[in-house]
Amino acid sequence: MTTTPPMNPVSRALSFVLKGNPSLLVLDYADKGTFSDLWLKGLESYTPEIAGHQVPWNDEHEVVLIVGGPPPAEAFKEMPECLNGINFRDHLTAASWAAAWRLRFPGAKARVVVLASSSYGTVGSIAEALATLFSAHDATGLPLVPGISFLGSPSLEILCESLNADDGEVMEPTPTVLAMLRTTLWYGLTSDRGDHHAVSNVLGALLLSSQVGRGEAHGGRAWAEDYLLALAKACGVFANSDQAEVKNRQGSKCWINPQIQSVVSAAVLIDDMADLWGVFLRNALGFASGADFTGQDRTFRESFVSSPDGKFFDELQGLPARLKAFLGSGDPFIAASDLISGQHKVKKDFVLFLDLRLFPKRGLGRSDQQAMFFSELAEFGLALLNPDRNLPWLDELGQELLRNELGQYDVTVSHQPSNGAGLDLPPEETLLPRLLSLLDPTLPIVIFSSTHHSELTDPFRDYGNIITTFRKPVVTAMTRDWIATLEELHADFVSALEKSAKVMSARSILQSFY
Amino acid sequence: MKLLEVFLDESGDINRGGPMNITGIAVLSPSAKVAQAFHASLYTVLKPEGLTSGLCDQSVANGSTWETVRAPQGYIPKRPKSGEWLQFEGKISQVAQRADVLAERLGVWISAFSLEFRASNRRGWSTNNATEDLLLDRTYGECLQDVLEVLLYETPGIRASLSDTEGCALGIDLPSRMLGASGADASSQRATIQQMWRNWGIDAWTEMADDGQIQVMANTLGASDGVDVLTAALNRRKNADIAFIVQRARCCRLVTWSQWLEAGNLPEQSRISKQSTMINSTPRPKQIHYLADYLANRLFQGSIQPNSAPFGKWFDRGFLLSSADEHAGSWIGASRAFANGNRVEAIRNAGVICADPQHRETKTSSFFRRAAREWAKSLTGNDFRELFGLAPGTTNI
Repeated sequence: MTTTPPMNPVSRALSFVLKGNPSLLVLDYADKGTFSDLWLKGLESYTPEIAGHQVPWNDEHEVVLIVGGPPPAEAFKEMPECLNGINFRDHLTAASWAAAWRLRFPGAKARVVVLASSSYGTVGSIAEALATLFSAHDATGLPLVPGISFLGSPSLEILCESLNADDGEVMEPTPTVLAMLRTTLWYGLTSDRGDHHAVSNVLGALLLSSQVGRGEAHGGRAWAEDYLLALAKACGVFANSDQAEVKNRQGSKCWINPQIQSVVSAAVLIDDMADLWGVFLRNALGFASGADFTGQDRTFRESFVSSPDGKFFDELQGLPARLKAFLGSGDPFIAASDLISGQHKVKKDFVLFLDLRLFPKRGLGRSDQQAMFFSELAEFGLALLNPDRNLPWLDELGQELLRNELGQYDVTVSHQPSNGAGLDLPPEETLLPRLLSLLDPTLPIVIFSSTHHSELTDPFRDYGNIITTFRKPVVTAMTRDWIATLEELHADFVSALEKSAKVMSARSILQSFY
Repeated sequence: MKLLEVFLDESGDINRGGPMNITGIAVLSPSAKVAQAFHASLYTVLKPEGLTSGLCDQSVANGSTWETVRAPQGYIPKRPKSGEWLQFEGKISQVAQRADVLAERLGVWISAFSLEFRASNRRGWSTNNATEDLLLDRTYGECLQDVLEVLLYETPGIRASLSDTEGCALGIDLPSRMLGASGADASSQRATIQQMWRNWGIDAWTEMADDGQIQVMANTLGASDGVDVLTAALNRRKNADIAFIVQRARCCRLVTWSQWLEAGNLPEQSRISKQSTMINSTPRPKQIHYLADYLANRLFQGSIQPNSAPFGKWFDRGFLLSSADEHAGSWIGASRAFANGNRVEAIRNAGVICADPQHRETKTSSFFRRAAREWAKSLTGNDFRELFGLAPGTTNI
């Protein structure tokens, strides 16, 4: 019998009791190294090295005893700031790993025994659902999920029986059983979209990031997202196994061709999860490398601007004042620094990627912040509705409607709706893009949101520089093949950038007059 | 009512196929009365200093005959004699400075403008294309309209005055043009005279040239032809609201004192004939028209610095364009297209010029880019969509 350096008293005791069996490997799931090996190596090959031991998944005599249910807290210490608060733990329990392992190697002959600790039951319903599946038997009395035993708080006798159980050759799970495992894992990942901190809200970004590159280098250390991607991969959600491989993050796979990239020139991202989505966007646009961007007087990497980590709401709160200052300057072309403060190498040539939902839906403190933001934005909007200013997307009625709409936000204006206007106001999420579009009609604005609701896109109908082609993926129940989804996302992204390039070309012409 | 008077002349040789220019001076006066005072005072200031140039409405009284005209003791010759160019330039500069000081005193605003272009291809008198041979050079005629179009519609100070709500009158003084052909024998000269009358109704005649040769002469831009030129220029901007009234549009013959005196050296019959023709050439120009003539010539010769005082100030208010080297023709076309509603086409064409860094930074481009910056402010949603490559009226959803 072999074991990892035991940290958990239970696993230490079991190691002592069960010593003598060379085919038994006792693993402490609470150990970060073991946890990392299980997720990042154990699901990648039939002979992975886990906790310093070669584990032959195809050896019918091999038994792996995993002690502990919840993942180690240390595993989630390193991640982008925007992922703080995201509930990874529920999805990365030992039960989830066992299910992922079964999905990845349905023909593996080894057996996995999960010994959940007493605290396991607090983790949540995904693990419980999996535990139920692992404990279930089919009509013939055989385990429903062959090769996996799940034990809650067993006596030593029962444990020894489980480890020594000779059920004969481990049978391959039926497709139905595999589908049940996959559905249970995937449903857990994607079912809770209402919560801003649900994994489902970041999974799309992580999956897309894995497609376009290796994200931000993190020196061989694993990030929380790496484990989640391994889980997604076990669920069959990947287009290319090489790209989904996230252990060695180097390089990127640009989604647009050099001609479009050259015209687009640079990008600015305004998104409350900018540090998460920025990874995808930076790589998809090819703005990841430190090499010189020919003709731009900056590197590719410097061609991408987003809010500094953890500063998004500070930036957002200052945005209306910056827009007002820009309006007062008389300059027709907005600069990156007008949108995100700071000294940027990106000046006035860029595509703006703008998320619609910039504030979380819930939270009292944020609501005040939100109210103040829209009040100040409305004040700016009313200044923008200057009769001497060309507002190409709005006729007189449109201007009147917008004025009424802005009056709803601006506490300093005594609002009197006229002619019934203002009764059916567009959603507040659409206000910022529309005002930016009016402020700078040749700034390509790509709506960078996951919304599919027409009430959020219809208000942009007449705004020629707002591009709604691309939508962040919503990873819900696996009703579609991920590869097909990915291909569609890719096509939409390219289409959005092609449209942006056309707007940029017009912008360049008008800029050349200055 | 304000009065804008435009005095135009050209320099270069149509037959050379090389660069020419049409250059002028615009005088904007608060009223016609002030304008009259300006011209009268300028003549009064220049005459005692020997700085007048030729016959003008001040120097030759109404009803004068060749016998009664007396050239002043001192004057500026049409062109400098060899070795005297420095003195000549100095005198032109003095005239300009006197005009500038006087303008400041009377509240008159002077600007200068010039368009350089390449004349039509070289041609001789007896080529097969009689129209091009005998009538106005087509390029010259077009450029004359170009200059007026740019001046009236694209020059900020002038455009603002012409569209002023208090009203503005416009007076255009163009140079008359006369074509002369020498070297042909008497028989072919007669044939040419008949052809000109038969084909175009132009009354040609023979006259002894300065070199003693007999040549066929014909007026191709006569006194009243200014109306046609101005009308053609105004018609280029079909959508423009004409807020001004036209006080005059005429072609004046500039007869310098040196030409007058040289004619006096001819045998008597020729002298009488020539001086009579000169004195009967009405309407008579204003003295400042000669300054426009000098300016055109000195720019052509490259002997004047356009940024020297007061010309620098004047040209800043007007323009210094070139279609010979700097795409003025394309810019004028783009500006016209924009004014006539083809806004996207205009922007694209202007964009092509500006895409070339070499042409973007020329004086011509600088002048037009200033106006083009305003274009975006009047673009409609459909204009923007078209610029973005979308069909007008389409939505982005």
